[in-house]
Amino acid sequence: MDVDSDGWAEKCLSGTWGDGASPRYSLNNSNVTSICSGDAVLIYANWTDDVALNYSWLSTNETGQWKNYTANYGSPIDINLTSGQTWSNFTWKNSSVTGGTTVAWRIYANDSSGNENVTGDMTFTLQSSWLEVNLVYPPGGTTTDIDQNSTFTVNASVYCRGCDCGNVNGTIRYNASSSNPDTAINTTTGDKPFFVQESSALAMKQCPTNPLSENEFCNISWTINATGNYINSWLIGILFNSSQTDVTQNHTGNATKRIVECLDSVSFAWNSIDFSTLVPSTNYNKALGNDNQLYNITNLGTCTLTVWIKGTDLQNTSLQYPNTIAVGNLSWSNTTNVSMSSYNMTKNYVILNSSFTPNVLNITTYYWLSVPAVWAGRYNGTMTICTNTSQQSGIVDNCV
Amino acid sequence: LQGEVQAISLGTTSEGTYAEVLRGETAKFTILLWNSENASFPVRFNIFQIPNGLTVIINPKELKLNYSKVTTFPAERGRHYIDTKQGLMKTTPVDVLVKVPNNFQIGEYDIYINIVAGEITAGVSTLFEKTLKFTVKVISYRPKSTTTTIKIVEEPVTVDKITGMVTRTFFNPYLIFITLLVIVILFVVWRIYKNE
Repeated sequence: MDVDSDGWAEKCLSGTWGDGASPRYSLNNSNVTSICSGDAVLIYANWTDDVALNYSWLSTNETGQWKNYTANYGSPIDINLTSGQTWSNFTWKNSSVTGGTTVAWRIYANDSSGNENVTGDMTFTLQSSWLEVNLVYPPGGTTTDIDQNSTFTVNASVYCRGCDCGNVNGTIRYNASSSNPDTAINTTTGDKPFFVQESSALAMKQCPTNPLSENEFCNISWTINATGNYINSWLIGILFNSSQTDVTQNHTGNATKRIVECLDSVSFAWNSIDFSTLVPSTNYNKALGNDNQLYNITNLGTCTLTVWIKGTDLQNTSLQYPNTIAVGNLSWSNTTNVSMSSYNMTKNYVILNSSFTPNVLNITTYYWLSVPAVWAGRYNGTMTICTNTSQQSGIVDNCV
Repeated sequence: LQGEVQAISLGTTSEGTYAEVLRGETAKFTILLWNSENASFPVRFNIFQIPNGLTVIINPKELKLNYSKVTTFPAERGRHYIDTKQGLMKTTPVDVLVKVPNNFQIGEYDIYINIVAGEITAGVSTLFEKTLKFTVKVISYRPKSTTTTIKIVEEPVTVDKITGMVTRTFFNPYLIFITLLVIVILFVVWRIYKNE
C-alpha cells in the first residue's frame, strides 16, 4: 500500500470516491407498441455501472399519474452486475386498462453506492375493439313492401375488429318515437306495428359464437310479424353491443319496411292463343292449349282480384271483304274445356272471375274460335285480360 | 302445333297515389313494377284519362321488364323491393309527372294510367292490363310552417265584488341601498368641503 504524507491510503481514497457516476442505460424499449387489453408487454433496458448495479424498478403512467412498482410486473428486480446480469426486464399486463389508453413507462436503476438513473419516457398503446355491423336482410338503405300480418326475416351480421370484443348482442329496433330506430321491437304477440314471432321471442339476442375474438363474426336473425296499419313505413335496424365497456356500440344501416294491405301480382302462362289452320264455316274450334290446360292465370300476390276479359275482331286487312272474324266468334270458359258452356267474347270488359283469392292455385281458361265464311289468310286480333282489386289504393275498381 | 308461349308475370304498386300540388308546379308519382317469372316482356303505359289542362308525362313510356328476383347481394341502396312469396323482388320505377298550369282551377283531379303488358304478335295476341288512378289536389298556397296560437284567457273582474283595494309599491332593495350610499357619500364630501 502506498501511503502519502497525510497517511491516507490511495486505494482507500479511490474506493470511497470512485463510484460517483450513476448507472447508464441503453436499448430501453418494449417488444410491442400496440396491444389489446389483457395482453402482456415486455419492457426492458440494459444497464451498466462503474462498480455494481443494485436494483431496477418500473414506473408507469396508466391513469394520468406516475407510479413506481415495487410488487408488480416483476418490479423491482435485483440486477447485480457482478453476477453478470445487466438487463432489467418487466412484463406489464393489466386487464383493467381499457382499449384506447396510452401507457407511458420508464425504468429506474440504482447502484450499490446509491446512485440512481432513469430511462427516457416511452409509451405503448392499448388498441380499441370495434364492431363492424351490417344489415343483411332487408338490405340497408332500401324500402321493402310487406303484407300486413305477414312475417319477414331480419338478418344482421357483426364482425369483431381490433381486439377481442367479449360477448356481443344485437337488438332489433324500429323508429317508434324519432326519425331513426330507437325502440326494441316488442315480443308480445299482436303488438303493433311489429312483434318478434318466434317460440322464445327475444328482441335482444346474443351472438351464438360468443365471446367474439378479433375478426370473428356472428349472424343473428329474427322473424318479425308486420301488424301495423297500412300504408305505413317504418325504419328497422340492429343495435350491437358488447359486454366490454371499451367496445363502442354500433348500429347497422336502416331498412324501410312499408306495410301494405296486399301485394298485387298476377302471372299469365301464355302471351298468344294459337288455333292453327282452320276451315271456314266451322264452329268452336278449340285452341291448341286447351287440352294441356295451358291458359292459366295465377294470383302470385296477396290481394283478392277481379279478373276481366275482352277482345277485338280478328282481321286480315290485306284480304278483300269478308276479311273479318267478329269478336263474338271467339269464346271462352273459365271452368271447363267444353265449348257448350263457353261465353262469347265481347269488345267491352266482362268479369271472368269476381273473387280470385290468393289461396286459389290458379284459374284455367279455355278458348274456341268459330270461323265464318271468310277468305283464307292469317287473321290477327287481340284479347285483353285485366285485373283489379279494391284492396289497394290507386288501383281502380273496374277495368274499362 | 302450339307455338312457344311466354309467361307474363306483372306485379304493380305505387309510391303514393295522392299529392297536393301548387298551381304552376309538378306532382310526381312513382309506379313500381316487378316480374316474378324468369322471362322478360314489354310493358307500355297509356294516359287513359286526364282532366283538360293538366299535362302528364310518363317516364319511361315503355320498357322491357326483366326478371326482378334478387339473387345477389348487396342490393341497391335507395331501391324499392317487394317481399313476396316468390322471394325478394327489385322493383322497376316509372315516374308519372303531373304538371299543373299557373291558372288551373283549385280542386281534386284524377288521372288514370293504363299499364299494358305483352305485345301484339300473330294470331290472337293476349295482353294484360291494369289501370292505376292518381289524384292531385291543386292548391293555391302551401303553409310554410306551423303557427302556434297562444290563447290568453283572462279571468273577468267582477266589479261588484270589490269592496276595497290595497295598493303596494314594490321597491328594489338593492336600488335603495345604492341610492342611500350615494347620498351618504355626497353628504360626506359636502361636509369635508365645508370644513375646508
